[in-house]
Amino acid sequence: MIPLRIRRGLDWLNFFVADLQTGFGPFIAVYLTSHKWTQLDIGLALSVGSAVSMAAQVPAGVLVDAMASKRLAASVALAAIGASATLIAASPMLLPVLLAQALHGFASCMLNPAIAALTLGLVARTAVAERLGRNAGFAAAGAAVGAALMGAAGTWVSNRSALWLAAILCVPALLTLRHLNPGQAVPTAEAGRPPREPWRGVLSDPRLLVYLACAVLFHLANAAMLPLAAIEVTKRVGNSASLVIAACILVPQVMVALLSPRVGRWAGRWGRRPVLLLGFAALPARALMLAWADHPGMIVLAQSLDGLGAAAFGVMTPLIAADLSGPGGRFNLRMGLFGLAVGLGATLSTTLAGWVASTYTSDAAFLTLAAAGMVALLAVALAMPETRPLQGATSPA
Amino acid sequence: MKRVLLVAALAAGLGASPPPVPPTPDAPAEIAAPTEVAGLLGYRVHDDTGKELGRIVDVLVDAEGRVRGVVVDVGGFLGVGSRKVAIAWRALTFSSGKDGLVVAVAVTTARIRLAPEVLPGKPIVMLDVPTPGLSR
Repeated sequence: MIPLRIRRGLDWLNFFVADLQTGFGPFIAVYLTSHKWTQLDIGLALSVGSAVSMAAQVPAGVLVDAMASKRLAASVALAAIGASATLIAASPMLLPVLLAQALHGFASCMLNPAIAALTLGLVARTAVAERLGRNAGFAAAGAAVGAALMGAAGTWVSNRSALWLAAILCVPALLTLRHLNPGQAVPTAEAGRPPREPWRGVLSDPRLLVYLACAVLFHLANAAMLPLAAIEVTKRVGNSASLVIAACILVPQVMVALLSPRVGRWAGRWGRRPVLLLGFAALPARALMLAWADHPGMIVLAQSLDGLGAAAFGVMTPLIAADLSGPGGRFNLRMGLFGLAVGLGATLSTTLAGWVASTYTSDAAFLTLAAAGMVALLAVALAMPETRPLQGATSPA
Repeated sequence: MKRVLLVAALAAGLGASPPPVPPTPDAPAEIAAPTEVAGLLGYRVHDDTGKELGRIVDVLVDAEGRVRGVVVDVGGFLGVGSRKVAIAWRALTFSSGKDGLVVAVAVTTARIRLAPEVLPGKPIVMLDVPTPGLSR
């Protein structure tokens, strides 16, 4: 069993990290608009952030692999994210914001794999699937609370106060990291020792290549769906549009929070493939529902399917990376590669869906995303092998 | 591109403390009280019922230097799902409230909701009022 202190530590670490990360992303554009930024500069700041967070995925993964202490890696990344939130809140001017966006992009690339690696170092191999599910569950709860808190701060206080809130939330996250002392954990091969696995072995693994393709396709279908649905809500629903959009964001997070621990357990019991198939099947179903939905209730219902997809993808990605790495492999490099695939898919998704929606109709865009989701589902069904290690074969000697 | 970036960076960095130049007959200047005028970028816009609609993100001018309209970012939650909609200059009403200038749009929210989004390279639909001038 995992000691209670470590269990609670991991729970709250995932909660607070997702919590404070809500302050970044599309919200930055709202904040900068209220500080009289031009559209050109806002576009520049957002693209610097997304370019760095794509380019840094693999280097950050290699860096975290090379660092003996995953706790130190996570602490450094958290502190950097806190610093960038502080910088953006304190001086909303071009140079500091560009610097902060770049810093946040790199640090986020370190933080996500570092937390997963820390988890692998703290729990026994057999408990990893369930624990990663719990991580994702608490992260989703944190994201939901973060969106509610920052939405409230932005509405009733100021947009700037929401960013200060993000900066302050780094403190409890750093404090929970102090509780995660690898010394008291189950000793595994990953703890401490830098991996010696050759690069070529990582990159030539067909299972990795297939999952990379699946990850690109998943986010090609997924990323543009929420923004597109939100725009439809703004068009069709009257004065309560903001509330319905908030529901479109919060309901899936609540679903992920509830489903993720279960998804982790299923993956441990039945394997990764059934869970992946279930999660990927939610994509085309959701896109088709959104294409036909008129009523705000239907749109929120369709969005709740996002919870299933996000829970499956969020838990399976680190789990498959752990399966492929085995004890002592290049886990963070694999996480970086998967992160790159996610970023690539998401960028293509927004570009493609935006083009289809502006050239044809938004329903055509939803149907395009549904087609991409079908291809993603087929890719998993036809090409993705089961990666669950045989019982006992890889447990630490 | 690099130069533009540098100039913008300098402007952002140095804009905070311009040297004060008193107006003279050779170099005339108009002086306004801080609450008398307002920068429109980022300014809140209200709908016909007084509810906040969004913020002005751009001002549209033509070759004669006439201000033709503004672009307002409407709707959304935490930046998700907001749309950029153009409003004709004529359709804006200005008044002074207790916190300074109040900018309102004399167009119904139903029309704003369904207005086409402002996209690069596409015709800009500026929502207008039926009889120019009357709304003032």
